[in-house]
Amino acid sequence: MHPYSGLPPDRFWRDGVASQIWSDIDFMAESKFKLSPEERIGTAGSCFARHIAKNLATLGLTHYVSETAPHMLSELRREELQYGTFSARYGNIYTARQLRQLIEFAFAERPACHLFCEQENGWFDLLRPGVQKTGFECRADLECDRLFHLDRVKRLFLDADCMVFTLGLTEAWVDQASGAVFPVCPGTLVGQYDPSSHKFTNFGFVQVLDDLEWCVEFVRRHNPTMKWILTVSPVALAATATNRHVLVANSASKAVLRAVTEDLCSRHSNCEYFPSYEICASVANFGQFLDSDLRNVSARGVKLVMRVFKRAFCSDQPASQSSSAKRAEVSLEKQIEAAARSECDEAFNDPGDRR
Amino acid sequence: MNFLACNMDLLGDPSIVAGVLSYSRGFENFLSLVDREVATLFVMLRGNEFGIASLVDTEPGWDFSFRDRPATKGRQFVHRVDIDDYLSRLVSPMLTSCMLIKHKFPATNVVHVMAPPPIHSEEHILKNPEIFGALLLQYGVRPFDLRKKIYEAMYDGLNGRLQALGIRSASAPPDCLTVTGGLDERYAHGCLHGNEAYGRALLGQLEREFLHAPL
Repeated sequence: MHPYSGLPPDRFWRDGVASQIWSDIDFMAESKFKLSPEERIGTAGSCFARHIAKNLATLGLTHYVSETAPHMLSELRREELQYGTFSARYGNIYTARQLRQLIEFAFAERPACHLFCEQENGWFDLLRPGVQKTGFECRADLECDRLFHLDRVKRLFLDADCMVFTLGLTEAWVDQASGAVFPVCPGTLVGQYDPSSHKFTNFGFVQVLDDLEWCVEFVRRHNPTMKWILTVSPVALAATATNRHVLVANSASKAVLRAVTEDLCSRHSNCEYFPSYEICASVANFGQFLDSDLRNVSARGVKLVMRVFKRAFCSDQPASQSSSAKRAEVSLEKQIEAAARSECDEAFNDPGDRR
Repeated sequence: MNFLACNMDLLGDPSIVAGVLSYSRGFENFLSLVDREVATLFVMLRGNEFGIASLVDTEPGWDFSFRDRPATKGRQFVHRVDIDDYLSRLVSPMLTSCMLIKHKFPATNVVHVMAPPPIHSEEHILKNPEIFGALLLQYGVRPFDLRKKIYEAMYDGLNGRLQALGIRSASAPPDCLTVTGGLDERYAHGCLHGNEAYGRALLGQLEREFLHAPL
């Protein structure tokens, strides 16, 4: 007898991987917690995280969006302005430092900082370049939008029952003056790169762990029951600013992120790791879930990830009707419209004020 | 001056579909009651678009920048292009109603009479909520500044398009307004309308500006 005797088959590569059809592998036989349809699930992270956000509803789960679109926007416009892409309009959050800074701004744990640039076609938020691609007409509009957004981010972390966060990168660009981290290097999407102001950094294990742990501990103080599901994006780096081949840099980056999630989840009972990275990027799957660019995950891969997610976190119990059905609430605008129509008809019958 | 009035439901919502103006039989019958030779036609139809757009606040409250008045920090920012698009959809039935009237009365001087501006006093609105009482209690009255911005943006867009059709717009009598440009509560009826005193002031203004003003 020895410690390996009697272990279930999934503990052995031969039985758990080599002899399995990839889509049959139970990557996560157990999880620390289950999610119910009533729970508000927040989402944030890198581009891969968008798939999770988009597909939660298909699993009967509730994607909690704290920054909802104003009623007058069309579906197309909402999508354009990234309402509902994630729980709030922060755009892609690639690094743990970015998440930490977002929470710090939202809870006024650091001085307010509006990093923006004025270009020919408008004003752009360098901390959220993707959510308003056509820019703002003036700085005041940008600040108004950002302030409201941060208020919604605060509400998100106060109210969410669970946060699914996908770590994407360790590389980032930092504004020297404020210490704020940009989601993308200025000059790539908007703005202008200035070597005297913008510094490259490649966060190491200790820094990433420190940032992510800060987020977990800080949110726990304000929302003690919120759970975290942490995942590492299987999407490879598009580019590296290190002096190494992008494949090598990618490997190092993902290794750091994976190690951080492992360490954190082993010490926090409210943090669970979800293996999207292993599902999609493991060499044992022969790259079958890669798109033709050998970088992005195919639709087939996303489908498998969500299937495993469901198995891991959704209970077998059918959702109660009241929780799974979307409330058929008449919108405020419809109520007002109905009131205005009936009001006008009634008012017509009134001969008018006799004062 | 003669008046012709009807319930809104009779007129329906005229619209333009694929470049064709479409309207209800009820609207056509209503217009057939108007003297074909009339010199000036004042159109006071609809006007509830403003009530729908402006009175009751939303959660979260939104705002937009208009001319020299920026969006209020703390409220959800909405881009002007989205506001214009929304208001354009809202006033479309009013615009198409006026288009139809101008089409039916090509030689007539058609004047669109704007709804009264928003009532400045929130207290007055809450005391006279009409049918909006429950909604106002739940969501609150939109801030006056924002109601005024909505009003001005709405009519900016509409009046410009009407002018292109040869239709003039008549605004509220200045004597009925507060210094901030809102409707003085002494001239208000309910939470959205002008009262009899407002009506008298408006008629006087219309007569002075447009002389003959039947129907």
